[in-house]
Amino acid sequence: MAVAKRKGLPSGRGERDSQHHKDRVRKQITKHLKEHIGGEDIITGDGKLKVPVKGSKRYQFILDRGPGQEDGQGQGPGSGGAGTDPGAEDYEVWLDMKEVEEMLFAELALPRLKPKKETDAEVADIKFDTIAVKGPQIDKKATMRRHLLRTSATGDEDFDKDDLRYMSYREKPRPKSKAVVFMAMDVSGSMGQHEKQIARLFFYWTVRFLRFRYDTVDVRFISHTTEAKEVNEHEFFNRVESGGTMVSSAYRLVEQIQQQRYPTDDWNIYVLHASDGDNWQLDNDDVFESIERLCKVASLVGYLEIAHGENNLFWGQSVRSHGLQAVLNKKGSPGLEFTSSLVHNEKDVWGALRHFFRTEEIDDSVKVD
Amino acid sequence: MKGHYTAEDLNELDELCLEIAKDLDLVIPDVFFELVQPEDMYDIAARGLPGRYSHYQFGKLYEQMKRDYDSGKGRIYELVINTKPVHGFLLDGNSIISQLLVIAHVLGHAVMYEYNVYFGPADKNILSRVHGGADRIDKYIAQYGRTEVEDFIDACEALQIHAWDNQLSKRREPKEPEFKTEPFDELYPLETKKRHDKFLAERQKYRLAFPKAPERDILGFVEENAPRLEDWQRDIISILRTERDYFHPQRKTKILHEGVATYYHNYIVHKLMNMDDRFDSDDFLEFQKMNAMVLHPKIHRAVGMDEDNGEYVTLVHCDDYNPYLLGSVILNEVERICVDPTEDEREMWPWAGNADPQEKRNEIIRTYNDIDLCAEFLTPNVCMKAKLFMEPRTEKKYEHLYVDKEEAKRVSSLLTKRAMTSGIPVVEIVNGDGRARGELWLEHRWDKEDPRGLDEEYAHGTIQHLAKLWGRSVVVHSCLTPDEELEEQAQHMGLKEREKPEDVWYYCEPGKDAQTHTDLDF
Repeated sequence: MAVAKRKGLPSGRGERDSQHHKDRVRKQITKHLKEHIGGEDIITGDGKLKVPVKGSKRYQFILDRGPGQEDGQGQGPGSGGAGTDPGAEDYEVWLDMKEVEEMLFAELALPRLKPKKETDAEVADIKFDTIAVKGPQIDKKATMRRHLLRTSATGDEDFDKDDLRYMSYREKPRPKSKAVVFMAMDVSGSMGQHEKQIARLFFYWTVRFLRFRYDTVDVRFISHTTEAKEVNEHEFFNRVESGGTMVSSAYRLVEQIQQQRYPTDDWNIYVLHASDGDNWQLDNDDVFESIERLCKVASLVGYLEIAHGENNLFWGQSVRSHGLQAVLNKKGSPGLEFTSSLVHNEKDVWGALRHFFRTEEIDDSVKVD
Repeated sequence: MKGHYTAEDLNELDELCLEIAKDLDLVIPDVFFELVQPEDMYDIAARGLPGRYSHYQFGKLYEQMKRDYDSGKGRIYELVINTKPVHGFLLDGNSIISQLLVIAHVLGHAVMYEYNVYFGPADKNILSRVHGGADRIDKYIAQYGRTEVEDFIDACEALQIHAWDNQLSKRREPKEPEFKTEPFDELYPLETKKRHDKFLAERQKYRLAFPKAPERDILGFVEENAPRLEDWQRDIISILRTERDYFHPQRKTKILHEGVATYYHNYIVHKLMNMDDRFDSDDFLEFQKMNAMVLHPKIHRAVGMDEDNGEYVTLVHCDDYNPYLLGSVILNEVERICVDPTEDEREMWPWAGNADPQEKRNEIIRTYNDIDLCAEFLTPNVCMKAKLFMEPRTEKKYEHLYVDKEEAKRVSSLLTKRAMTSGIPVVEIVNGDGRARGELWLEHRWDKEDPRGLDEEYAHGTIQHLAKLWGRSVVVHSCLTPDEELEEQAQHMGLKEREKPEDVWYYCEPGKDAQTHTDLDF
């Protein structure tokens, strides 16, 4: 009959579907990462991670493959058999730490981040939303519009090179917001190996997330027993101490540093505190008052309570009711900015991160303010 | 022939091919060729039909094929869609000789589509249906979310393969039993009452049966009867079923299809190259190289024991049949049998020796499918030429392959069997209201010649999908009607004690993991 060449650009449907497939794999990987965020291997690797992907196995009814699955040899033609292909098996993907961060942190953000006084229009967002006469990618709609306009004016029906319009970008200034995050960790004697490990994991990922996401975030590290000390990052993650616990010391130090160095006019204040919740009883009122005061200046006061491991001899589950979280809850809410979370093991760490840095809540909380 | 070409050049080749194809008696239907870019070609190849709905599995396939193409590992030459006119796709960038081969090849496919009886019920308007379906599925994706829709399609695809095998004949539901009165009923009231009671019981059984007869089209039954499907879900099932029915006759005639197409391209290109002095010997060599690639038998070599002298040597094993090779060998053999049969062949076919080869070939094109072909024509001669054998051969014996009648028979029965089942176990719906609580009961009856049960892992995965579609519990009963002969056979095949045939029930509640039970106690 005839042979004709297909005109125009390829439809790109295949590319789009293959993107969908990649998205699906990516989603699976992210899900896996969240469950294993506490695993040692994820952190101690050399910047590369191995993640198993549950292959999208295509199930059908097939006959028993039996014990001799692989003996396809010497059985004459057709030992395989169409329609019995077991489909894709599970496979493993190697990921860069960078990719991992991108996947994980996509859904986290500092809540209630507000532009502050000394904002310079410094950060530029690139928006891909304008049309230009030159560029990398054709904007079909704009080109068509241009073509219609021109042809209806001139009566000339052919396409012209001048009709072509491309997608283009423009830089959009974004107000800069400065933020400081105070991280306070209980390093007293009651914090066993297990509890310290979880607290460190939590802060480790928080720091990674902040550094990944924000260029202008200050992080202050505080570790406390009965008294609090400001320490550097290395000390914070490695210091071993023992002794009693007075949580209010940490909050008081935060207040102090904040008043001296981080005026609320210029800074968004975030406070995070991790402890096993085993505070000196008489101190609890002080803690509550400190938190109340902090809530007035801070955008978030987060308290992470780490439940003792079950194999801890001294602290059984019964301590839970005397824990700081329970005490604070009993006293009522110190402020809308306060939120607390209880974790039991490494698997809960991601949940805690999500709890403190939820993205979707930003809008709601602004209204409350 | 020059290296560079345009669509007009190909058009000219098409005309020449059509002219030559007139020799082959059957009038070739209209074929429209489209020259497309690799992106489009691989998109169509991944989907199987151009413009099919959007699904991540197609994307995965597309990516694999495109990667192979980009790295030079493999490329596609032809794609053809059974529409009116037949729609063929040529990959832009292939050499002109390969385009010529593909054009001639596709003419053969077109002949099959037009004349083969199994393509009679095929929907020639499939593309508009496919596009309509794709549009609707796009709408559902926008409305209900991509993951939701894609997961649903995944669930359907697990069961898609199960359908009635014969599209040609109409299925009749069994009728409700009637009571037949006989002339002397009144004289024998007791017997009559007995007969009547029996009839009542039968009628009751018939009335309660749902479905009335075992149903093999699982998706079709689900679409019509699943209690909790939403309209969009039923619609998606109907789209998938339409597309499945399009592919069905092609699966049933793979060998014949490729055989006819190969026969046509061989005849046409040979004649054209003889006739037309624009083609030189290099062109012919290129054509022969490609042809040899297409017709390469599927074999592999491995070290094994030579039975003659007990030494370890390299043995040639036969993996599978090559449909292009097998199909064209059969057609050529049939033509030879028509004019110059051997004694054996004369005994087998009454027409051997005094039939018109052209007519016989056309008869095969019109009325055969793979099952008939494998059952009838896998003679020792065909096996030798198509390189099909059961026992591995040494290199030297493979060179001069000899297949005796006994081995040819085994090959024939194996391939016939495969053409019949395609390796898919027969699973039927026997009850849509199992245990009076809406459970879907299916039955897999073991094949007598291949006594194997279902693969447990895959059965579990599949019934989880099915339970999701049905919305209530699903039971698959994998069973064997007790049969001593079969037991013996199982033992003979070396199946261990625990693998001996016994009844197994796979059970799955929607949203839960599937379980395996060995008795009805669940």
